[in-house]
Amino acid sequence: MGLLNKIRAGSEHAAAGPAHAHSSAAAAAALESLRRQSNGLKDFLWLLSDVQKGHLLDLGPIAQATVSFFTERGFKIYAEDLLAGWKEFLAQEEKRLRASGQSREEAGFSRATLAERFLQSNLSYPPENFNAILIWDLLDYLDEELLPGVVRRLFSLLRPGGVVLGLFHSKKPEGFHRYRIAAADTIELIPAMTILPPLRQLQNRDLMNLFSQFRSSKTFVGRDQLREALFLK
Amino acid sequence: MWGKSSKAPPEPPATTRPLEQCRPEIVDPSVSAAPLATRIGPGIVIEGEVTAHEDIHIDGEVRGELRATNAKIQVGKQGHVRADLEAREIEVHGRVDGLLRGQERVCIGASGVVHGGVLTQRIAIDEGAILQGSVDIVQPGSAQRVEARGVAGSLPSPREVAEPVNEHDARSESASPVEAT
Repeated sequence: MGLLNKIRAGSEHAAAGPAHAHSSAAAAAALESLRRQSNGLKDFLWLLSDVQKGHLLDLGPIAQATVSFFTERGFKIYAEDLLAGWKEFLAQEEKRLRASGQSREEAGFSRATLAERFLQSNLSYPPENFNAILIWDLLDYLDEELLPGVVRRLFSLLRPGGVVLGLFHSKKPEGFHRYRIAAADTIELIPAMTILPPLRQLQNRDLMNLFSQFRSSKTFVGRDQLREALFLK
Repeated sequence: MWGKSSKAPPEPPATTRPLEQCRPEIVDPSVSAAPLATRIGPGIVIEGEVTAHEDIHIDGEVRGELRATNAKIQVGKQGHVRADLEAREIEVHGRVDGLLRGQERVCIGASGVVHGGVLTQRIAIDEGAILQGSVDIVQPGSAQRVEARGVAGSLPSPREVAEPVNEHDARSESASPVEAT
């Protein structure tokens, strides 16, 4: 049983009552957000502690708590929900293909071509614009063909000394989550509608290869099998 | 690098400021305690530069530039604004493609979609809201920085949003509540 399930089961057991009460408690627990201590976030903030009027890019869905957390610390926030953008892009391309009546080959519809086109119109910021980038668990969901290009783009967008914070599932996640910062050492996981299914579980070696351009990296694995990783330019 | 470890990581703050919250959209202005003075209804399309001196509610479409310097702009669920907005307060429950300058506050409701940038003193973003762009918070003492500058009607690039804002006051001297050119 995963840690998340154990926590839920424990809280349900403590409140055990009639069977129907138990099942409704289980349903409620399944929808509850979960707060987790984050050493990765602590180190991420520590690396940014000397930054004045920094720029931070958040590649997840926008969250008031995260925006407030960083703007109160003087950061300017940029938000781009890259996974939702990729899904929307694929849907538009599919629509365009159907309308054109062309075959996938004729329309240049390979995943690699699509990934290239997607990056031409997304993640478009001036080079070295950011002190920090939050990617959350984005890379577990993006297509294989898109990963190297996205990571190269992250590298180019970071200022020297800039840092990326990512989360990586060591096993298939139980559900789709959005993330927000609850405190300087706490990340909140909020259950959400699945945008795209998870495609992989990246292990340390995969991360090292993917982020090989970066100067340094550090990972933390939680008991919930969620790996936090920092990549320093 | 990680050698910064001689410095202790920051302690979590004991308390955090309560988060800003959006008020629900006033669907029917006639039942509101303070009725909105001007409403651009669904089916109305305004193109050009609009200046308002009282609160304005948009359920139609506005393209160009919209200013209500000492008032509030509310974009309803049906509203679609392809314009830069400037107002004392801006609430978005529909869609905005443009830059939002709220002198006091900007709120993006749960159904709100903003593609552009936000420049304001305080921001509220409800769960489910979509924002693609930048958020820049200015300190109350520098409120005039949020006020208008000449802005092209197009969607600002991140580079444009990141640039410092000119400090000249471009408030309209027009006497009529709403003008569309």
